[in-house]
Amino acid sequence: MNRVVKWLRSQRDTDRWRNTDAMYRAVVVGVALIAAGVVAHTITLVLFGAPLLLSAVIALPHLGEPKVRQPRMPRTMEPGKRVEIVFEIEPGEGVELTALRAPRGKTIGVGRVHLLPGNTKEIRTELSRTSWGEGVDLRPDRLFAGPDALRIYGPIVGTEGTRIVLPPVVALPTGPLPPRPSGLVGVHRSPRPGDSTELRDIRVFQPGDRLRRIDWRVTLSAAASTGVMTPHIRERHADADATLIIALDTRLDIGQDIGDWATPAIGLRDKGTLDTAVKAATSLAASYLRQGDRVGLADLGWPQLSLAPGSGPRHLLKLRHQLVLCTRAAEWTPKPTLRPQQAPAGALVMVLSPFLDNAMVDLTATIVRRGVRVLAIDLLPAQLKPEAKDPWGEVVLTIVRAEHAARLNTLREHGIAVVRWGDELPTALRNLARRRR
Amino acid sequence: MKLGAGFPVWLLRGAIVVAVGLIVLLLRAQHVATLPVLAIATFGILSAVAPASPAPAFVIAATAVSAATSGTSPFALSMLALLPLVHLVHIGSAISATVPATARVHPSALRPAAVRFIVVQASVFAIAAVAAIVPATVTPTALEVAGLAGVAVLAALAARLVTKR
Repeated sequence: MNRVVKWLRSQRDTDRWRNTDAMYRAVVVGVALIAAGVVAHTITLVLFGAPLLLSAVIALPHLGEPKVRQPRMPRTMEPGKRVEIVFEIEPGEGVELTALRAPRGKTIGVGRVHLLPGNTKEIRTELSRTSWGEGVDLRPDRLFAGPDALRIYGPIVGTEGTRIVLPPVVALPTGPLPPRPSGLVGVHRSPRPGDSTELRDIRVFQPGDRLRRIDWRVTLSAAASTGVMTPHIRERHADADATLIIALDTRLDIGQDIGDWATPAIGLRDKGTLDTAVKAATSLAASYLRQGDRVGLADLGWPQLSLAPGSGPRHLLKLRHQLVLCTRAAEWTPKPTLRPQQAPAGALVMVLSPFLDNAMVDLTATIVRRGVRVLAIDLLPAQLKPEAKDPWGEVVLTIVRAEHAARLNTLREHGIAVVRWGDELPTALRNLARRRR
Repeated sequence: MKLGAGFPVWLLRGAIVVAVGLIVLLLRAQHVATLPVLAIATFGILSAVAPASPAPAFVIAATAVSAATSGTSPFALSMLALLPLVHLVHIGSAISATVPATARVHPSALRPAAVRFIVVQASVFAIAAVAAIVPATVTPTALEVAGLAGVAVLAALAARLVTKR
């Protein structure tokens, strides 16, 4: 009895060679048919049993231990970029078939199982996930089989290989950035006098002014008109960098179908507001960082995931990583939060939200009351679809739209510029920037 | 080697169904009763759907018994044609059972199995040729005993084979 139990247990061990059902079929049916043929003097049964038994005998030779090395792949990647990975296989003696799970082409995820020749030592394939975010792109599940697949080694579940595809960066025009009172680097005009090329004022020379700033042409014309030689200087603006805070409403991720709003989505919704918000945040951040500004990130749902303002290409990379983390932790919280220290005076706060609750409007208005410039970017999908099966679907849609319009009006009444993310945004940003000058 | 597309494993399973279909036609040609033929057809489809189940074993055993009891000559063409078909059901089920239904099969993976299939079938046809040449007389007692002893040894070896670690 113990031997039977031991044998049954051994059949479940997948990390060694074992017989398959086909092997038992070949041996039992083969022997039975041959025995029956001999006993009954029927050659037909022997002829039917012979190939089964022969294939079982051929499958007997010693089979070596096969191995697959986990392919190396980059931890992070740009969207749309392809990367080649190599599976290195040590097939072992006598292995005739290798079943390996590998991604191929435009397959999303770990891919399908491929049945390959057993002597394959190297398999090359490409990872080509286009959607951004963190995901499992590799799990080399494998199984090796001997002749006629009568003996197998495995199946062995592979180690998962995760990869982060960073959110894509779309080029945007520069927007309305307020001058910064301190700091004398950057490309934005500061109210302070400085060394830029933009003219601020022409005035009489004062103690402390640099001699090289004297505009002799103005000085001479002034002397000609007044008769008194008074040096005049040409004063210029200082260049300053600006601080942009991208405030992301990660509490909601909704799509076009109102009927799906109450259903929790696994991961990000396709073309949902959170996906749009992250793409918008990345594009805005890239656009402003490119011109030397400082960009910070504020997660309104989880303030601890926020990122302090910084500048440079490394900061953009950090910010894109942080956006992936924010979306991973995203879930509904009743009260959005933006601490005063997260939006310093002089900064521009861009609030990206679908503005579907009053708490969001209250927070945005509070930021403005602190004296910070705010630009509200509405992410609610333009074409909302009512729930088809619900007789009240159209009514619900009307109420949602009316409430949303009322919230946006409230924001405008507080002096907050509201723009919709999409085609109209570049124009709106240009207009706001022009108005500023 | 660059990973190619391969073909869906359902084609391999489809080959099992085709083989079973031909078996059914050949058995009907041998005037085998409807009930066993229907059972073979049903289990044949089951073999394609669940190749790791006992269905292929039933198809092989039932085909052998039906053919043996049909009264057709063991060396008739319709009888000899059944041998590779039954073997194909066995091999096709064995290979299909190692991968999930969504897997892709690369044709080069099947080459060794195809070569072995031809070698085994050639051996079986050689046995059939020898059996056809040997005159059918009363078997001597010594040979009968030797045959039975051989079967006993074969059964013992088979038991050792299936319990081998």
